Amino acid sequence: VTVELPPLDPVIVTSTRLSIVALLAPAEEMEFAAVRDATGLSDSALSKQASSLEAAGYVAIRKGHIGKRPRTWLRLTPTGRTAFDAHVVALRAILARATGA
Amino acid sequence: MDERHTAQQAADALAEIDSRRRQAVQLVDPLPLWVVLAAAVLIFAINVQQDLPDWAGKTPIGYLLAFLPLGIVFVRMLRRRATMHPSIRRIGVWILVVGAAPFVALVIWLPGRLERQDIARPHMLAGVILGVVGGLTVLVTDRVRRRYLLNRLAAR
Repeated sequence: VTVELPPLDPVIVTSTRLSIVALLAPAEEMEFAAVRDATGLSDSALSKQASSLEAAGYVAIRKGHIGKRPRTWLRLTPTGRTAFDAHVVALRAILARATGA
Repeated sequence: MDERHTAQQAADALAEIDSRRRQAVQLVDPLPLWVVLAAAVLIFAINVQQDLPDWAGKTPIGYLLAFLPLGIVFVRMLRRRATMHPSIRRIGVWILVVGAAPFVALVIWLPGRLERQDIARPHMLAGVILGVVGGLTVLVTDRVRRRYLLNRLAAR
């Protein structure tokens, strides 16, 4: 009997988006620069990926200031969090089936 | 795409997630070196001032020295680059409480104990001991809690 595996999430299946979402998962909110530094992406690359994730409803982008300096914060939405959790479950299922666990 | 390749990709993705989680936990809950310094200086100052002679500037300067690191901690907290998600904020807090309990007992017991001994500056000695022990307690409990938090996140 072949057990159907849960599907991988198409939005975060790419490694760059997965890195961003995984980084945001333990955080309530994270500064754009912190995500950029942690992932090693350029400003423009992160901006593009963040916009894609925002368009998918996975990430919320908030702009504000600390003192006079403009800051941008990224936050995983409940939809994004649910999708990420489901994606992790799917990855584990694939691995478990391959290893016979 | 054959199944082994997919399994390898899944393993890589899970490793990547684990790695990012570790980074995130560092960012949302940065190593509290400033908290360690603030706690150590505060405890040291509270004890040491009892062994110093009275003079006009003792109280204000003492308060300034004792609370300046706490102020820096507060400002750094306001400027931190990431905040912890509410769903994990309470994970492992008991470790900090359990870790702090022996230290609190030491804070209560040690100064009085040293005062009864024939020591020239008992409060200064107590301040140094408590400052060092307090700082180490914060470092160790934070390390243990961070590891516990990562394990709990990985198990989810």
